[in-house]
Amino acid sequence: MRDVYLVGAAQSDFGAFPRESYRSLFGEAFVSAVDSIDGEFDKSTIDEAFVGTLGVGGRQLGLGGPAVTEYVGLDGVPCTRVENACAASGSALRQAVTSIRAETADVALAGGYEVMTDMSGEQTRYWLGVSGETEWERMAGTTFAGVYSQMADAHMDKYGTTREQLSRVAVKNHANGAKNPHAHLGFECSLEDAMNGKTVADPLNLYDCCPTSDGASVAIVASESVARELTDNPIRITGTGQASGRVGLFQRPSLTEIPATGAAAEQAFEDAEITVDDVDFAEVHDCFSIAELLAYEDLGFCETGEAGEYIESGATLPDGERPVNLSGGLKSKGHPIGATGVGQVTEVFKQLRGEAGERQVTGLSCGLTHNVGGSGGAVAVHVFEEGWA
Amino acid sequence: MGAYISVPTWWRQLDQRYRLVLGECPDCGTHNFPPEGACRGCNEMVEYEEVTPDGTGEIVGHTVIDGAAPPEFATFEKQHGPIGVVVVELDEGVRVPGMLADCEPGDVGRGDRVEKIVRRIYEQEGVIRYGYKFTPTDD
Amino acid sequence: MNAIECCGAYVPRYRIDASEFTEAWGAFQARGVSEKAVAESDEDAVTMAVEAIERALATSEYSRDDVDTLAIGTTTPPVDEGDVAAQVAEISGLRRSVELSTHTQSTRAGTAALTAAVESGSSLSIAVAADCPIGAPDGAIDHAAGAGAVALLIAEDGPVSIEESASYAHEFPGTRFRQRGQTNVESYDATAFERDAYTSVVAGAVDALDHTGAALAPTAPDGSMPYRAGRAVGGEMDVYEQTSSLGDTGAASSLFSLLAAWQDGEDDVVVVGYGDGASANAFRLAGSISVEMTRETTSITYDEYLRKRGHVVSDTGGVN
Repeated sequence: MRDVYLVGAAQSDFGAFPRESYRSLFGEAFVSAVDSIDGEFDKSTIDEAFVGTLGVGGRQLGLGGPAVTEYVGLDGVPCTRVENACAASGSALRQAVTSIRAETADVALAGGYEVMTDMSGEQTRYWLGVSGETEWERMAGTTFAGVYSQMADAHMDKYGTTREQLSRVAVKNHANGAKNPHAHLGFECSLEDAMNGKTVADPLNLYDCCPTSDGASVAIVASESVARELTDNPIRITGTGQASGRVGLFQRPSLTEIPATGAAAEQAFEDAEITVDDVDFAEVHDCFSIAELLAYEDLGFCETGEAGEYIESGATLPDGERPVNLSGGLKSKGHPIGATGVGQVTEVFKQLRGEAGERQVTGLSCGLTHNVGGSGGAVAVHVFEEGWA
Repeated sequence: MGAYISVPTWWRQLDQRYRLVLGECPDCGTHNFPPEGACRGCNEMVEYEEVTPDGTGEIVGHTVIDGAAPPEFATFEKQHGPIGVVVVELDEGVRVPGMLADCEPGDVGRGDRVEKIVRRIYEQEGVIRYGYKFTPTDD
Repeated sequence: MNAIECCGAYVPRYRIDASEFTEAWGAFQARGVSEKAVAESDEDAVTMAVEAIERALATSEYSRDDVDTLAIGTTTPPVDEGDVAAQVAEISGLRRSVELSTHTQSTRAGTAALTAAVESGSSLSIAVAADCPIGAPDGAIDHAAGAGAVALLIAEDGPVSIEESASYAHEFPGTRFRQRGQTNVESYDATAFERDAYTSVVAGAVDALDHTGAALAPTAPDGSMPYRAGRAVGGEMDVYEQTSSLGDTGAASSLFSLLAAWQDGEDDVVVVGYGDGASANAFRLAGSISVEMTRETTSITYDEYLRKRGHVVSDTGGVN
């Protein structure tokens, strides 16, 4: 199988943009992604495009892929919309990687977009329950916050994870996001604020929940021969892993782990021929604070049940042994559902190439992205390393 | 409109909505809810044997929703106040998600026993949908 | 088919004290009521009927598969058209071949359902009355309004025998009515006229029986009217009602009165269902059944009352 290189990646601003459309946001990300490529890039060389979106914020538009690729001047490109809820663009990336490896493409685009803030509050709550299990879980009264809060309640009960430990996720990610010019909620927050936020679904409060955001992201991947024409500072996608899981929390054997994360990570590590100890930093899927803690355990950053202590130790801070969510994570950077997966990729790209500005951490050579759909129905994990194969 | 449950879909599931009817796998004996699709125990596509449980079980997942419920429950939330939502492990060993009823949602938690009752779930397009909820029990 | 084999009752958890109304309105307009039951917003006549039936079946020798007939009586069916009896039967898991009837239109619907069950000729019937009346919040009808359900299993044998029955009808328009498509019960509100209607029609049904009984268990729109009826039938019968503590339970109130009589040791009871319009039917019963009525309750305030009963909430549920 051929090696795959990430030659360009960028995201639009994430936030609330009533004057932008899903197309214009995708356009912003695309132009920036092309700009991020070192050499002269001819967009007509893109052989295949995979675009993730949940349906444009409940509008359920058909042909969501071609609608944006035509907008950026890629009329005619083979284009497929990928849907895996919040893991849409992480899954799109896997498709792009696979197309390079399979030699069906020499250059492929993976991206995503979502517009979530222009619909009424009621409409937004209505369709946000879509990627939870609808017939039973939703009819029990939960959208996402409810399902993740059940997981948090169980984790706290079983392992003694504390309110403070949960809140440290928000504090860390906001501190990082405050340095990210693209972040939706790019401001710091104190531990006290995070601990005393208004309850949304007990035990989760406002500071435990990521915002709903508008935004888009684009990554360009290529074969080695193409990459050599475009850059001397290559980033290789060394591992891809993906797994599905039970869509409803009640269908899983445990409320305190997401099995699809472990399965996807194992696949990605094997593919990359690494172990978790080789991972220097990661962008993980912190849709809710508990989700980040579960990611630490499910990815193998720490032992089961010890995620609270792990974050308390400072290990995942920028100066820690394994910084997590240097971008600000979903919590501070924002979470336009279809865009998040490749949004995570843009941070890894920048960090490995030394282009992360104020957020730059030195000495990083291997990064991981972890993108979850729903409460664990789909997970995509990718591993990125500097240098040629 | 997303996440729409049609009336025929709801109707097809009335045995589950009203009585929590489970499916026992004839091959491996695992109980499944709902009784459709591959058995979660042995992964085979089987013809389930229907089992009507007593409807009692233990809470294994618990939260109290305050303003974060789906809009089908918006009016109910205003009338009732914060809503308790649980995952219940029925005595048959299968897990079922449900809403708490007839109690203070914060007064119960993981480990407490509940039983099934039937209440209005929601109304949509003039059709009232009834279904199971869970209430604390001493049984 | 002339015996009551067993009985079940359901009353919602919430209770509101008369003092809450006094504080809100300056006065509590329901005579003789000190406290009343309030249904949660996810309860209605269907859910309460199901609960009462479950409780009755739990004490019965028979199983739900033996039930041939289901008659339901309520003034507050959740829909104006649509077979609520079929819904109650489905939720209760009765046989597909069950014979159904729904009785509504007046608070006599509970005893009308009992008549249907008794006269069905089935070997096992359920008569259930479930109600949740509602009126304009500033009016006496709403002040009195409560909620609850009672189910009776009618069989060939049982601890209570149905000795005889009688009916009486005399038009008295405007004493209590609900216009088509409206939620609130209203009345013309001429007090003496209302009292005449109630007492003369209840007495008419009692007098039409061959024999009188020791106790009178009538429909009770408030905690005062039943005692007027007691005087109207000669003052010798002990009068029972539960509206004073549960509020007006509409079509179920005559059966709640019956339960109160049994609880007090009465075994010679005349139960009279009265419906405005007006008509009444009376049953003389011999024997008694002890029915569990106590449950955990939660007191609520007047603003919670308004929310639970939908008086102040706009209809925003169910998108699209």
